Amino acid sequence: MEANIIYRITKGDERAFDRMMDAWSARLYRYALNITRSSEVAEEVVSDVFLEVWKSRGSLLEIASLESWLRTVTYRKAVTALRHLASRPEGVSLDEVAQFIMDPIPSPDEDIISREEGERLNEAIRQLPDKCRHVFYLAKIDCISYKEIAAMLDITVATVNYHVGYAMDSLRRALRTPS
Amino acid sequence: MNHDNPHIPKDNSDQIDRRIDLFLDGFRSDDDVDLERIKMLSRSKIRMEQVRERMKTRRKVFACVAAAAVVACIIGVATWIINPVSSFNVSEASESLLADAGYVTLHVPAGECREISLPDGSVIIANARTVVKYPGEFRGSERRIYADGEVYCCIARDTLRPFVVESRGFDVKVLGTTFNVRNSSDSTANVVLVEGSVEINTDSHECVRMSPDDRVDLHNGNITSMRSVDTSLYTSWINGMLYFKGEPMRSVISRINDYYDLDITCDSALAGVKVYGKLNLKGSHTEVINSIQSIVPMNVERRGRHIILRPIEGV
Repeated sequence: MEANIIYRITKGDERAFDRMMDAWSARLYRYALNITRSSEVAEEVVSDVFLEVWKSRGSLLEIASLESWLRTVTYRKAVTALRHLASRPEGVSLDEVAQFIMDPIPSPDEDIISREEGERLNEAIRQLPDKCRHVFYLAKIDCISYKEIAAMLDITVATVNYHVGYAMDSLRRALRTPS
Repeated sequence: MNHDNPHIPKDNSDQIDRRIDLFLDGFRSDDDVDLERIKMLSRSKIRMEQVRERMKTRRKVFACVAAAAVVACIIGVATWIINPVSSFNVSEASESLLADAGYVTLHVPAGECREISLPDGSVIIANARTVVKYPGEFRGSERRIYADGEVYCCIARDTLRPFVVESRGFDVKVLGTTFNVRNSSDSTANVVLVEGSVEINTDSHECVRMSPDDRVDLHNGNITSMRSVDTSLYTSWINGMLYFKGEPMRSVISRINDYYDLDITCDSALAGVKVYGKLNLKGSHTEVINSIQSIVPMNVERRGRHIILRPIEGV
């Protein structure tokens, strides 16, 4: 994001803030959706994140990486939202809170990935340990650098590397061997 | 498990990785994201925050309203045990029923504004000479208040309990949004939606759903028109200012009459004159009339609260 936009937001420019929302809504929404699994809750979470950005606009320039910060805030709010839901009788159980679920997506092109192969890949992703799936999502879907992921989740770069490697191997195996 | 798995041959691994990459592209699709909805929600939360920030600076008014709310709470709790109420029409309920339900009535004096902080986090700003009936605590399946005059509403989102503003001859039903409702002394009214979505239901069973920037006009509880407007012109009063961008003099006078409880009339030669500029409502009505005089040259004839504006001879 342009430094100019951030500067204008710190001065309370709502149009600049709007552009920031345009740039970030989709990414943060998908991230929140994968944690909360409810589009309504994810929308609430993302709008709460933007509200927090607005409230702390005065100190935005002091944040080293806006991306990691936004994601950390989103993650924290999404987990809080899930906990809040879990405290209602009809809500999810607390065991599910720490999970990071990726919704199966239909394969983009039948010629490249058949329907059956797509299902195998989705199943492989589902089978990944939660932490591994989370790291894999950040690295491969959202293309965040290993260093940033490490800082965000408070783990070492080697651990990030390990999780991604493990996940990629599982996917390669799923694509190769029909079960 | 080790990721240098010996069972995977190296030969076509590049091709496999490419296919995995294409598969993962499916996760990156933005198709299912309702960007506008997220932005709308964010803006409405920020708007609410701005109103709260402003309230901190006007602590005096806030403290006074908060005290009223506390009293209402106590009454509400005491009577609820005896008489649990469900949703009812605030405008039709008797004074004693309203008091039982924990409602208080606020009459805003002429020349002033009041901010009301409702128990659900919503904020209502009521313009001069407006009557607002609101509870110390919302009970039942709906959040209902009554307003006659002009109110700017910042409604906290609660999909389970719709918010209803009852007014003269119509209701405005909301889920979470910012809008302005104005009844004029001449039985016309208008609703201007800043953000979100509201539905107007009239007593004559007309129903209209509004989008942001819409203005709906009503006359005696019947919808007369709906059009798109610049909402800032309708909401500037909450900051103690009135903006005019070519409004006819008669509308400007109607606003000032409503605000200061005056009876200003103007010569028909002036009624249609377009007014551009802004008026500061923080001062006395004399100052406001002086400012109008500086925008549109005219003679001012004062007889107590009755004031007559006439064009200057020869102009």
